[in-house]
Amino acid sequence: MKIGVYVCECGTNISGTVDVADVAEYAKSLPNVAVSKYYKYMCSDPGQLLIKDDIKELGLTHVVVASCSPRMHEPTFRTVVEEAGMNAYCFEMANIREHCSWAHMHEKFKATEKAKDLVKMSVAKAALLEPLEKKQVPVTPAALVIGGGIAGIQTALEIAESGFKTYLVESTPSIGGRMAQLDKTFPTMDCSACILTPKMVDVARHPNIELLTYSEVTGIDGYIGNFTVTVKKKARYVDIEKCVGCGLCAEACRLKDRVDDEFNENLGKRSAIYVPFPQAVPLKYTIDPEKCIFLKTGKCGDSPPCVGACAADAINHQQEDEIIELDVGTIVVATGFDLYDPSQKPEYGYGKIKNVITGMEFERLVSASGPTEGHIEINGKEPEKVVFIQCVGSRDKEGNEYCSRVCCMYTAKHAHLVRDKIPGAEVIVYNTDVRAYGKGFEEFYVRVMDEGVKYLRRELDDQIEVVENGDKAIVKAEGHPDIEADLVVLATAIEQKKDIADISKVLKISRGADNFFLEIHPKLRPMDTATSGIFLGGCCQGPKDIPDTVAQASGAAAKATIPLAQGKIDLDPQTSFVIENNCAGCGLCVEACPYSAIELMDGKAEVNEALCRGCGLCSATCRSGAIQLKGLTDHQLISMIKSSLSEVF
Amino acid sequence: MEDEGGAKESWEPKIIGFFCNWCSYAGADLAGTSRIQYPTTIRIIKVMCSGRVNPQFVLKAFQEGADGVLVSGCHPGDCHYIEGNYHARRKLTLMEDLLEFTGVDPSRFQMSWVSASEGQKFAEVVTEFTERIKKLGPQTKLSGGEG
Amino acid sequence: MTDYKALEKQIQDQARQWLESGEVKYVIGFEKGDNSPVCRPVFIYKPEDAGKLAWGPLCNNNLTKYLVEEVQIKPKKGEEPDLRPVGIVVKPCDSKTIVELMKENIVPRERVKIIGVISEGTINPKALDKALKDVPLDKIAGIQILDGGDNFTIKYDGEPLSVPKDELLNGKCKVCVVHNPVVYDIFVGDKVTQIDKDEFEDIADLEAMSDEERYEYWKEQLSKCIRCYACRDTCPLCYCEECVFDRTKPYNWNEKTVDLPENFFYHMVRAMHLAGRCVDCGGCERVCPMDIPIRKLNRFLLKRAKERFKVVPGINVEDKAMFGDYDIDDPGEGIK
Repeated sequence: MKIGVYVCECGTNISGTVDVADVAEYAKSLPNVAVSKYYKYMCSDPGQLLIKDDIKELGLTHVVVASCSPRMHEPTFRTVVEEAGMNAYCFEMANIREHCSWAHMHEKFKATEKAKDLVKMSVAKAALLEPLEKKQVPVTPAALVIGGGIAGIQTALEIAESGFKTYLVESTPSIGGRMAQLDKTFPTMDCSACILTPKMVDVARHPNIELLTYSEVTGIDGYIGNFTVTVKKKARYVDIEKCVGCGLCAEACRLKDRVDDEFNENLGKRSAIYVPFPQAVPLKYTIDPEKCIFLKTGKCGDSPPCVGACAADAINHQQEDEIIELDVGTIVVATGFDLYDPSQKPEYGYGKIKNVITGMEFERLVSASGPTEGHIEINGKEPEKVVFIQCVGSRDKEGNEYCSRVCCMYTAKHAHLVRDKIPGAEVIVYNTDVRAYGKGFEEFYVRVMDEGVKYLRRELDDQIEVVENGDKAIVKAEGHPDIEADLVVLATAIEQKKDIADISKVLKISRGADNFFLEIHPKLRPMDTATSGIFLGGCCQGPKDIPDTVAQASGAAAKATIPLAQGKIDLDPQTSFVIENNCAGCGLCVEACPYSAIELMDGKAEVNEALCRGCGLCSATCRSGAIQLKGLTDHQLISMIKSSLSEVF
Repeated sequence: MEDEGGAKESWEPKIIGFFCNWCSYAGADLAGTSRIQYPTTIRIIKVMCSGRVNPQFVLKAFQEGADGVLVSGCHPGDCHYIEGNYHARRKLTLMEDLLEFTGVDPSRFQMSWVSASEGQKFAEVVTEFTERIKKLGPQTKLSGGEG
Repeated sequence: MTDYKALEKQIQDQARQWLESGEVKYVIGFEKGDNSPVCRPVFIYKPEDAGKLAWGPLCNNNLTKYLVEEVQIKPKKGEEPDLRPVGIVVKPCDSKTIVELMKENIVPRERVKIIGVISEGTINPKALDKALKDVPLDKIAGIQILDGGDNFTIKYDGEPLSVPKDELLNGKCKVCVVHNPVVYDIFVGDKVTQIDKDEFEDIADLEAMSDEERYEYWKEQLSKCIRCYACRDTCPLCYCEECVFDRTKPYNWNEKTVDLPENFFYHMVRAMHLAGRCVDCGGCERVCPMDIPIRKLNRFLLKRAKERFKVVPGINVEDKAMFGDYDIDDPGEGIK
């Protein structure tokens, strides 16, 4: 065994504090160390060459680089040693910059001693590192996109455009998502439907896209390149092959105009058989099983009128859920968001005072396709004074601490629409800070103020209360005179989907403290999850406006397409393995593994390397040390512990 | 080992840290990047997940002479491996109980949740822990050493 | 009050029946010792030997250790393994061990037929020795012990003795709250009604001490340890193929020396390995030649596991393993 140790000066970043010459000299005294050098910049071309030449000339078996954090340059140096013919996994790094020179700038002697210890520990571990072979697995050339909002639509279209089969699974009867509910989009005020619906039609027409609406992902097995996805196609009670979308069934339905219409935020009514909105894709009817009289009672008059009305004979009350399996190589999660329910904060009076509505409800009121055909009215009257309250459920120490990022601008849009549709209406916006950071946002905000919208600032902790006063609502904001308003609109927060616990259980991906899905790196890998092959698009990762959602969705599409285009992928070989002779088959590791990567076979644990993510939980759980993690075995850890604490090596 | 004149003016504890790669190790990196200064007492061993830390490693570190052991992972709910930190919490709090029951200074063991953005918190945890261990003096109960 | 003779009869009859029908390979039970009233393990292969099976308050061993050995034996090459179940006589605490062994996939339910016997407590042989100090040595093997409610009545060729149960019972029995077998094929005895009590009163004094006092206590106790590993070897839950304390290559967790820190390490690691699993059968303490109160370590973790994680081992096969599971709301009070 020959270990080479390379100590980096990092300009003066390390050498300004740590005596690198002393550290390099010290490393020579450590067992198995054949060569030890220091250099200005190890990661530079000449630095890399220095290591490569030594590997070739001295026949080094292991290399330790003492420099910056392995989170920074470990991949760089692994490639370097590999290019010189050494195994990439016989490489180890000692972090003497972030964890040493930068943190102990005024303690040069102690920092140098610490750097020596860190090198000693790395050498001790390196001596026990064994070559690992990367395994390649073929990739199923298909992708799954979960969620048919604008993020899912964008992702699906782009993967499909790259030439790969794409399944788009949407839980509601139509794609379109939240964006379909919007009237106009800020700051350009284009009509939301006008820019969205052509894309929805593209999805329906695309030869590579298979659209599965009113369907849910209920299970995911396998690993990157080889996922098997179980999808439940919920019974629509309508044969979508036959349905032509004429709507005669809905006209005939005995519950016509009697069922709350969720697309219109329950401000309008629909039938029990319905399409969510006129431009739905697919334009196929669905029977609401919670409402349909026949499905609930087995009887609807002499015969259900919808059946009689349907000339295409498409209605089938006996239809059942269907379970299908899909094989895909990669998955994009674009499950979107829900909106904060302001009735959780009684001070706003939402749900009790009819003058108080949410931003999304306003959106439906102002939409030409909404229940009032675009007339802003409350209690049948056009409001003369409208108050908007921002940050409802956002930036809240007790609730969602984050900023929902879209409320400032949609409120500005709403304020503009009020002024536009009701000339002379008085519009007041209670804000806690106006965040107009995007392209064209500030200009739009200034324009809205110039139009006469009054912005009043509150502190986040200031009290605010809405009380009923006859057919009006009084907004009492701390530090401001009371305002009697006809309409109060609450800018409610973007929140993770309410049923997310079920989805994350199926997907086995982590969520952050804000409950949104956790990306692997907030800056450099914002679309990747910890499970390779599963990517994030849109608001399921955090609040976003439409441009950001589309940008991230396109990014996720690109990420998901890479393995499909490569056709095969390397698996990280740093997985768990079982020492069979030591395994008693108690199955504790099987229970503990978060990825179901371990099974008991003939009384012994067996690791599925493709499923294993290398966390090492199994190894920490096994009493007899029979399951170990490649690249971080008990032996290696003990060796590091010992070397860090012994005066002599 | 040669002494370069910076002879140790006083006893310095040795603390072993087991830090998860994704949150706490990155948090320690951030402390460095932000040039936040803290004592040189800690030697961090990187594990992929705090769930990798078998309580035996903690006891082993004490046996080898560590004066303190710090295990740090992602905040509850933030685990890169979904639930590894919950497993770590279960095992290690019970082990801490055992340190208490055997009278082996449970205060020499510390767990913390440090995220990748909590460089400041990391430095504070190490500083406070170092101060605490300094007061306790060398650990001999499991190492048998004189310190 | 337990009628030991009646229970013994039932055990013998059941064993005989199973052996006659051939539905068990053999029966693991207790027989009378040769020169001692203390019962010892016996393996009964033939129905005609079933009469050897004994029952009484001196049936101390947890026989499930032999069950583990039975299922772990690997058949010789070319030999067809006899996978018939083994019959076993168990006390309630031993039956809890079987629950754990089933949970841990070590003993498949179909490999065992369980004669579960109720128990109102077993006698500590050392305490018995003390109580019999005036009984002539040659009479001791022949004594008979009867359950007299609050007392044990010891009959022999002489004036019968009546000894309060508290003086004779094993420590584990004094704090035990499970007097009926939890898993069995045949239930022997009349179901015992459980009295509510503080099941951890025996470690309260230790818990009340300061850290330093506790350290001194354990220092005294653990410095006695000669690391004979009898506690491990008798424990049915110590079934590892290779114990980490026997491992020398390629690395070792512990030096193979006997000194105080090493002894601390050994006993602490062993306690952690048994945490959430140990059912307090008391085997470790029974066999310890140095009288180390090993059970206190296990019982402390038993208590904390119950308080912290609501884990009670040995009750339900469907329960998850403590360290295979977690709860989002597990306490983590000391965590920064």
